[in-house]
Formats: sequence, structure tokens, C-alpha cells
Amino acid sequence: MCFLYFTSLFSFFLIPPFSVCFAQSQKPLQTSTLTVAAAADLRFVLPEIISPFQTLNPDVKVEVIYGASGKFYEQILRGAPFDIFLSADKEYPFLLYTKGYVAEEPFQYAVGRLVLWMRKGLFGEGKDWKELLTNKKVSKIALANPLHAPYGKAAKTALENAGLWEKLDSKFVYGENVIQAFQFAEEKDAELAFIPLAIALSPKASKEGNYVEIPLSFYPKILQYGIIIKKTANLSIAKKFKDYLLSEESQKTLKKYGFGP
Amino acid sequence: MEKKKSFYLKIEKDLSQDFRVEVELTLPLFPSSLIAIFGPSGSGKSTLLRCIAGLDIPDRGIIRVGEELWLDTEKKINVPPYKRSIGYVVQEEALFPHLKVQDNVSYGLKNQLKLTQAEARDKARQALRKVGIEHLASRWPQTLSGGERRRVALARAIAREPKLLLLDEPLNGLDFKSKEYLRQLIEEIASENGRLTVLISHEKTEIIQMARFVGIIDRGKLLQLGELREVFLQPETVEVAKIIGIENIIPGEILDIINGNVRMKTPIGLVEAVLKENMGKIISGKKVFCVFRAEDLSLCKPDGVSAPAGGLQGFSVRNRFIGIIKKIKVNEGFAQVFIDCGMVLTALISHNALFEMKIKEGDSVCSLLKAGGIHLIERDF
Amino acid sequence: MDWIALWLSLKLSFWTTICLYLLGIPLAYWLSFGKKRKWKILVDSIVSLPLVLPPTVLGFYLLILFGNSGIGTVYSKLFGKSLVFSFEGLLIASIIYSLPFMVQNLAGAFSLVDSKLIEASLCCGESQWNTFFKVIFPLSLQGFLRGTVLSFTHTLGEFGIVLMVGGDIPGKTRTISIALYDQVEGLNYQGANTTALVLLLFSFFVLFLVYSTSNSQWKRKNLFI
Repeated sequence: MCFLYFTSLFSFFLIPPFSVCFAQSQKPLQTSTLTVAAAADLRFVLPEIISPFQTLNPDVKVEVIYGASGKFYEQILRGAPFDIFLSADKEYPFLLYTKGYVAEEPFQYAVGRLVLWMRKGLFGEGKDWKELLTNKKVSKIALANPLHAPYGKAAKTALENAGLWEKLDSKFVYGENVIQAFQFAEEKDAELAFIPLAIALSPKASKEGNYVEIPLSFYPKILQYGIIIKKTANLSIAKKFKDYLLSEESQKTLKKYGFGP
Repeated sequence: MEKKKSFYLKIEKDLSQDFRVEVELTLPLFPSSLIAIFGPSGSGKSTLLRCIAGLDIPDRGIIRVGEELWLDTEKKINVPPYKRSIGYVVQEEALFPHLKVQDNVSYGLKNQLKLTQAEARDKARQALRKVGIEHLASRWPQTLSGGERRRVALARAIAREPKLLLLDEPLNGLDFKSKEYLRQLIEEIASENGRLTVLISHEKTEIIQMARFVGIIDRGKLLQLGELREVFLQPETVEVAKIIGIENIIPGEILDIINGNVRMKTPIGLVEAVLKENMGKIISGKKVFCVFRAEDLSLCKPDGVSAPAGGLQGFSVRNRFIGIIKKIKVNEGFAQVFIDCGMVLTALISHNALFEMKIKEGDSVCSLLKAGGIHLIERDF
Repeated sequence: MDWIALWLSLKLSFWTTICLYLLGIPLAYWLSFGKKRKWKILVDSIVSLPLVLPPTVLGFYLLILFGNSGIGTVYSKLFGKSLVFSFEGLLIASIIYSLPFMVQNLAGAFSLVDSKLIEASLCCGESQWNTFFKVIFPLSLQGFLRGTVLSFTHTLGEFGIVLMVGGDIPGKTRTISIALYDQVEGLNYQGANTTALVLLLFSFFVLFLVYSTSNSQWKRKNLFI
């Protein structure tokens, strides 16, 4: 009994190595994988661009990791094995470009817009963004960390230009990236969140809340640039992906998700 | 003793700042012998045994068994325990709880004696048969009684036919029947040819029953080593006399020696003793200890046997001391009587004698001591 | 359910446990039976550090170590790839991170083995090596089981250090706990729910098995501890 018990228990931990052979024998034909590090605001639009790309290139598998652009910047400096980096700003790609981590010149693929998002029925509609921020009902305002998230940076600039940054200082809560900022507002930990229009237009966000656009006069245009990493082993595929991203079809999809000029 | 047929040990080991074990001894290996190391607890007995087994390493020393050198700190030789031909039985038995009795006994046999599985099993069976518990072979050690466990431990030790059998308090904590059985068993096993059995104990009676040689150890020093009779009847020092439990130790000064009779002045009066060997140099004026056992002191009523005035002639008992009974301690089978005769003497008498004499504490009593029952030890102060 | 990530996590846990045996058994043996007490305290403290240290501290130092100056350079010269963002790097991080779980359990079990039994084995002619396999190992099965299970599940559940050292590369360093984080990030609560439930049930099942062996009857009859 004792013996049986232990054998079964230990063999439980032996499953993985044996199934190595099993897993490998099941692998499909040789494919090349394209690893894309993408800014968090692309979370909902990128799948819609990738799936037609993959139908066109069935031998390519596109893996996407979403996160804050600043974090990816750090990781690329440390040699992260990405092929393409789609930043939410212009600065990081050009910094990498000057440091020699980039295969060819950075390319602009979208222009992001900043909005202020709130849950439905919290404030009523058609209010000015500054009015909303100073509303008495507001106890917390979520934004992405301005230190390494471009949309956080943009939100900070807009607040500074409106003269509200210091005044509201105690109410800010910082998300690791824009998605987290959105989650704070969505889960009622904050009343307002600065997020990209692209996220505000996502099914979940548009169903649960509404948004007010921040006028372009308050913050510099969020020009989103991308780069192909120099170390990539799939340069031709990466180029193909870049071309597809810049194609009319993809641009239309981006526009649909609020990436305007 | 011939080198080939002897066991030689000389070790020094500091156990703490003021406690050091320092022992040197030579013992015969042939035909066989059983030596008992006797001493109070904490005297370094176990350390000595552990050094022989190789479980403790002395700071300095030599251990030689026949022509095999097990330890020589100067030559940097130290044979590990698993390469020494020993059988070691500890008080706690230390039976492997995850092995059945049979596997406990055959443990290590395959490696040690280069046996096959079947041969090892036979050897284990033999050993179990020898200690009379073959029927317990397939039991778990946890299910055995104390005596049975001790026997399994003994079987495990002898199954590997060791040159040295080391027994640490082998009878301690057992009931009378198990003790008796095991004692005979150990005597039998120890008598096998070419085997040296070293037994340590703090129980005097165990040793008197079993051992041929006795070593007395105290505070890390071997005080006396010799044949059982010699050590117990003629201790060389007062320390030994105390350790082996001689109750009466009285300082005295020799007056004269006439015809092998020694006369001494002591706090309890004049004492006469018979001069024997092993008493050292006895000359008049010398300071000595008179040492005698409580059972050698007889008691009588002071008025019952009155000696003729002016001497003790006509008495086989030469020494007579009159004193007052301070205390009577009744034990199993006998009674201890403490008598103040200038110094307190201890006498051992049977219950019957106690009742017949009708003595009680505070009574005056006469104690008689045969001159032949006294042993003399030199003293320097 | 991200099967690739689950598979990766199992693989990582498995290799971590294997490596921890190789590293942990000698270390635990030395901690329990070694003689140099002063060094022991030092080593014990170092081994136990990951228990109290925030994973980020460990992650930070490992990043520096794996980076351009430390063993990372040596490794990339030998094998032509970087330790950061690789499975191997993750493995090293996990080994360090789970080391106390293996070593403490093993050392605890080893020192519970009566020294008289070890001495008895030596006196019966078995070397230290054989004594380990024939006496110490069978008598510390419980510790082995606990060490194994806790190292395995702890590796399965580790997050911060994996994120820092491994990044989040699918198929390479995206373990199940990171996949879960990613699912939450992607607002895929349904997927996250499944993943979390699988992890929860797995951990509960394993711990249940382990603690069921602590049952007193079990101990007396089968484990002798």
C-alpha cells in the first residue's frame, strides 16, 4: 500500500519528461514564429490585423506580448528575443534606433488618441473633461504610469496644461499600463481613467461605460512608431508583417479602433 | 603479551576544557576474553567504546587489533568504522525501524563479508538461532519487547563475526528474566575463540557475574586493570575502592609488623591485619588506609561476647570496636547498619540477624572484624 | 486555457525539482550532519533568503548576474544564447527561488533520523554513502515527499521573478501564472477563471496528498518518523 502510494505520487512528477517525446511528435510542420512586443493599447486591434495576416502566411505563427512600451524598451536593451516592437510612442523606438538595436528606420503605424473613460450612469453625458475631473464624486483617477507608459505621459501633460496636475495629485492611481488603468475604473476602484481611444472602443469598455475625448490642444499627438529588432532571425517575415501593418487594409482596421490621424 | 595475539589501545581525547579521556590498555585476543569497563556514569566509558568503534576519533592515540592497525594519529591512520571488524550493541538497540528483524540482522553482511544474498540470510538466521529468537525473524522491531530487541541487536552484532564485540550497558533496563538469559548468552558468545568482548557497565553485580577482566575508569582515567578477583579484593587506590563500592575506608598509621600481622593506630582504635601481597610496601610508621567490606563486619551485643580483659587472645576475630548505632537502613534481603566508633563504619547483616539481635538506632553495639578481611592501601597524606 | 504555458510550467517545475535534488540533497546532508557549525549558520541563512526576500530583489540581482557582466556572458559564449528571456535562465532563477523548500524539508527530515541508527549502520559495515541510501533516505521519505511537492508547486506558482528574468515570451518563458496575468490584462476573465481554477485544484490536490501522509497512523505504520 505504502509503496503503491509513493510510486503513484512520484510518477505524477515524472509525467512531464515522458510526455516530451509525445509533445514533439505532435508538432506540426516547421513554422517560423514572429514575436511581437506590442503596446497595451493594441490589445484589441492587433488580433484583427494578425488573423488575416496569418491566413495570407500560413507558415508563420505570430506571437504577441502586450505591455507597457517602456518595459519593452528595457527588455530589448537586455536582449529580449523580440522580432518586432510596436511602441505607443515615438521616443522609445528612436532611442533604440540610435543605440543600434534596430534593423531599419522606425516606422509610424498609428496615431493614438487619449480619452477619459467612466462607467455608465456615473456622471451623465456630455460633460467637459475638466469638469469631470473636478467633480466632487471623483475620489480616484486612474492612469498608466507616466514613467514608462506613453499614454500615461500624455495624460500627465494634458493635466499639466490644464493646470490640474498638482491639484489632483492625491487622487491619482497608477496602473502598470493602460489596461490596468482601465481595470481600476472598470472594477470601481477609480471613477475615471485616462486610456487610449482604442481601448475605450473595445467591446467591453464601450458596453460598460462611455468616454470623453481629451482635446488635442492639451497634449502632443501620440505618434506610435514600430521597429524591427536588429537581432531578429526572421527579417524577411518581420518586413512582411510591417508592410502588412502599413497596408491600407490594416490602417482601416486601426482607424476603426480609434487610431486617427 | 604477544603482539599478534593482543589488543592494544592508547588514546587521549579532550571532551571539554576540564574533562579528558586518557586510557592505555593491553588485552589478550586469544583464546578469548571478556573485559568489563566499570565506572560511574560520565566517567568516559562510552567515549572509550566509541573510540574503539571509530565513531569518535581521539585527539591522539593508537588502536591495534592483532597486527591490524585501526588508528594511529601520528601516522594519520584512521580506519573508518565500516572497515573495522566490530559488533557494537548500544543500550538503545538502534534497530532499523524500516527493516524487519531478519533484515536488521543481515544488514551490511553482504558488503562486509562478501556474501551472496542467500548466504547473508543464512548467517542472519544462524545468529538469530544463537540468541534464541529465530521465530521473530519476520517481525518488525517496533513490535518486540525490550529483551527481544536487545537480543536482535546482539544477533546483528555477532552475525558479522567480529573480532571485537562492544557492548554498551547490555543488561541495563531489562527485567530480571531477560537479564539472566542475556547474561548467559553474552558469556557464551564471549567465549568464542579469538574474540575480545568489551563491555561497559555501571552495575557492579553484572560485572561480577560475567567478566574475567575488569577495568575501573573514573573521570576519563583508567585507574586499575586486572583480573576480576584481584581488582575487587585488592583495589590499588582509594578511588578504586570507592568505585567498586567498598564501604569502609579508614585512615591509619602502622605501629609494627609481627609474624605477618600488621598493627595500626586508627580513629576507631587499634586494628590488626594480615599482611598479604599487593599491599605495597608496609613498614612501621607508614600511613595507610584500612579498607574492608561491610559484609566482613559482624555485629554482637557488647555484653553478649565480652572479651577477657587485657587482650583479644583466644578470639579468632582480632578486631573489636564498640560504638553506637546511628542508623539502620533496611533493604531487600539485608540491612545496612551505620555504627559510630570514632568514625562511622558500615555493616551488612541479614534481616534474621537484625531481628534476633533486637538492635535499634541509639543502641550500643560491638562490631567484629577478621584480620584477614582487611586490605591495606598506601596513602601519602 | 493556455496549454503551452501549462506545459512549460510543468517542464520548468520538473527540471527545477530534479536540479534541486542534485543541489539540495548534498546541501541538506551537510547542514544536518556536517561539523562546521559557524559555516552552517551562514549557509542556512543564505539558503533561506528567498523565503523572506521579495522576488523582485532576487529578480533584480539575477538580471544583473545574467546580464552583460556576470555569468550571462560566460553562458552566451558557451552556448551562444542569452540567459535572460530563456528557459535556462528561468530554471536557474527557479532553483534559487525554490531552494529553501527543498533544503529545509530535507535537512529537517535528515536531522530527525536518529544518529544512533546512522552509527549502527556504519558499525555494520556500510559506508556513509550506503548508509544514506539504506537508512537515511528511507527514514526521511516524508521530507523528500514534502520537499519535492513544495518545490514543484512553488515553481509552478512563481510569478514575479519569472516576469523579471524571463519576460513574457510565449512558449519560452510564459509560464502558467504569467499566462493567467496576461489573460487578466487582456480582459479575458473567462480564460483567466479556467486557468486559475486549474492551478487552484492542482495545488489543493497535491497538498492534500502530502498532508494525508502526515496522518499519525501512516507515520507509525509506514514512515517510521
